[in-house]
Amino acid sequence: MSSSRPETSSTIRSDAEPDALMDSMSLYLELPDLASSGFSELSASFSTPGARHRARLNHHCWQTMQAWLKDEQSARVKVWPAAKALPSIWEVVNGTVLQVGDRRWVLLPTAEMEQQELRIPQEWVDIPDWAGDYYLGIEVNEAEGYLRIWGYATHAQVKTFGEYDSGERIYALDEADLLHNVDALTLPGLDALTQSISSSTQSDPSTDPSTANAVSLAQLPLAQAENLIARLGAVTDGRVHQIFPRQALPFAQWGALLAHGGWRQQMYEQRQGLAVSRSVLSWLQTGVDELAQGMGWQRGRLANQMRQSEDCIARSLTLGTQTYKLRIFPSPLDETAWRFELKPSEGGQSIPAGTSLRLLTEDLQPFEHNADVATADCSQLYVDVKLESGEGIVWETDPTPDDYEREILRF
Amino acid sequence: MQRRQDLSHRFSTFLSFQGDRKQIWVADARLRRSLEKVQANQGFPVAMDDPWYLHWHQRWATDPLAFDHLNAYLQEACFWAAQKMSRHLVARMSLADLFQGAIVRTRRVLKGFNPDVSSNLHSYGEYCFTNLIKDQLRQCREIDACTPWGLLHRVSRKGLREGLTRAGITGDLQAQYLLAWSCYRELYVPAKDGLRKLTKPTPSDWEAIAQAYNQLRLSTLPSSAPTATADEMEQWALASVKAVRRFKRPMTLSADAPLGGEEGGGSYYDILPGDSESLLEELVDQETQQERQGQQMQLSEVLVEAIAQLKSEEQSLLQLYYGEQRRQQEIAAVLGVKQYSISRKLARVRRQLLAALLTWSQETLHIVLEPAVVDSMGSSLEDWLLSRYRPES
Repeated sequence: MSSSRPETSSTIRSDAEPDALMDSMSLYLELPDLASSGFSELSASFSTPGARHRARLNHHCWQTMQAWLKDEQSARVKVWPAAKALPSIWEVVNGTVLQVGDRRWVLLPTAEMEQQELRIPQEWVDIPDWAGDYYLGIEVNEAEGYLRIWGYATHAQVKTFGEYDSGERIYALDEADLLHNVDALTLPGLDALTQSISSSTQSDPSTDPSTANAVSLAQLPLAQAENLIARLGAVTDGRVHQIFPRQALPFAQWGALLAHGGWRQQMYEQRQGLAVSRSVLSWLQTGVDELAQGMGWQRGRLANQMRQSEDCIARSLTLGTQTYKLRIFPSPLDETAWRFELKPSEGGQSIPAGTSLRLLTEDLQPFEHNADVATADCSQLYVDVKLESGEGIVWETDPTPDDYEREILRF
Repeated sequence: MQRRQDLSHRFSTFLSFQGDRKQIWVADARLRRSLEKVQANQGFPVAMDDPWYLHWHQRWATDPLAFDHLNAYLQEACFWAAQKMSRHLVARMSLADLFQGAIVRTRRVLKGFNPDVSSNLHSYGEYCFTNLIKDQLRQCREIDACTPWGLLHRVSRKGLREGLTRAGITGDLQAQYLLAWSCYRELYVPAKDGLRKLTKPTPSDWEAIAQAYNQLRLSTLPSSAPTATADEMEQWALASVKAVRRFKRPMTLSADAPLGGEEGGGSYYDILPGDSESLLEELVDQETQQERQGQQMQLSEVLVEAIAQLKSEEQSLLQLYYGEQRRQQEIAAVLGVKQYSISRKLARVRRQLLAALLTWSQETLHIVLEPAVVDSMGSSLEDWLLSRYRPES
């Protein structure tokens, strides 16, 4: 069978309204005015123009989606793990997670005009802490000022139908295998309905495809991690050596490096040529630098019964509904040790039983006397620790604070 | 185009474009024989399409003949969708090309069609093809609007790969082009909004791209791949743009797209479906069909009731959008709101209807509400709204 092939050109009418070609399957959301959307305030630097572009698309995307979701449903919406951690993610990989209620939406924006397949970086599927419940393909069209949610998939679908591309380290899902009706995702009550299904599958790992072919991440010893960070962070004449670091290591190692917020941040800073080490000692002596302020740290004074007063560094934490102060200062019991102390921000309040403060080595190993647990309601928790110069430490609390991102503090 | 009056034609003929304006139906004898066989075995009424397409829809994924029947059936839906959309083009051209660009994606339509919740393959097909054509037109517009350098950012990896393959750039050479393209995208980006107007990279940009390429070549490409120069990067980029433009423009889309039948042809089974089917299967077929019809009537009642409960503004929104097929901009003007809020308002109204539908289906059908089910209910709702508000033609 043959067909005619007229010589005329197929130019689309220039006066056609922009929405004449909007399809009715996708949801369109208006991008906020670019100038006022706050991207310039996101003063983070990036090692390549591509990374900066990626960051801009992701920034538009989660801001717009968050505003929309807040309008549409009462569920709590927040970006994961915390807004300040996003540049270190976008530096190396595309995607942003919005926590919507207790569901994780992985937003995958591109500027591409074609939506034949949804390409999901492996990080968002196979790093356990990073995995999402839903993966959304989103076109960001800056020229016409909209974003378009053109399809989405569940984690199980990605694992079942996704075609893994080992060269690119992505799972690709054909457009025809995606779900399209975004109404379904935002339907009140749907979450409760689907939740029972997914939790019942999760309880049985043998039938859950997402755990059946899970990729396990490497346990990176400190020396190896430092080595890898140095390699991936290398910069000469303001130019990074590895423009695609995510493909430069075996995934098990790469995933482990990325999953550790402190290491990821360190790699990010090195790639920007920022020779910073987060030294608590220097913060106490000369003030808290800008990066650390970004993480929430401030210098404070400590009224102490044993001494007159003393400098400390401090940050606020929200655990559940209560706010606390985490403070670091030389231990009053032992001059050579540092004290990490957790106290309610307001006097008169107490720390509920079961709350804990825990310290780990930089490569997340526990050590002797590294934690303090409230066995009954109490007024403070603290851990004293002796550290070598330059040694790094990671803190955690249970319950996990809002906007928690693992960080490495150096002494 | 003449509508096919006869059911056996609807399932066994393909549309062929004769010159610019004329279309004729071409019969496929193989499909005709198959149809007679199914008729003999199943005894479907010849006055109704549904039992036939439902029969084949159960089998199309594994049975090429079933696929061809459905493809034949969907020709009209695709044609109307193409004709409706052709009014957005300057020259009244390439109705054939619009048609063919869409009909090659019949699989997409069949995959999306869920007979449990959707009533009518023809109207679902028209809805789905319309969206596919819009998608194609959007891409054409973008290709016209972009500089070559911006287009390299707007094309997807898959699109580029297809374009290169069509242009005869395959195998190791294609892998080199793709790597060069990845480097280009990571290193050359507009500083501000302006992909469409992105200007040509400078020689030092090309140097940086070539340097990255040569570094990654060792770990990514076969060892035989030579180092490349900055000039080659530029040449490859231009060749890629050319390949994409050729491939994506509807004028060229029809060049190798087969009209009827499966993409790529292939051999058909000599044993026709129907031969091996047990009586039990037939009975199940008939029972489920009756059940389905009953359910669809109920579904209709549920939705009519749910619409009656909407606010009057929401009802008129549905009327304007689905009934009068008004564009969102016009609706925005009528209702005095911003254009972009229409998409959101519609989504909100649809969500209310969907909620009613889900409650009903849970109570009646005892369906487990997983996202895939809700999704297909969503598209059947769309389909239902379209046929409900469609002006009688």
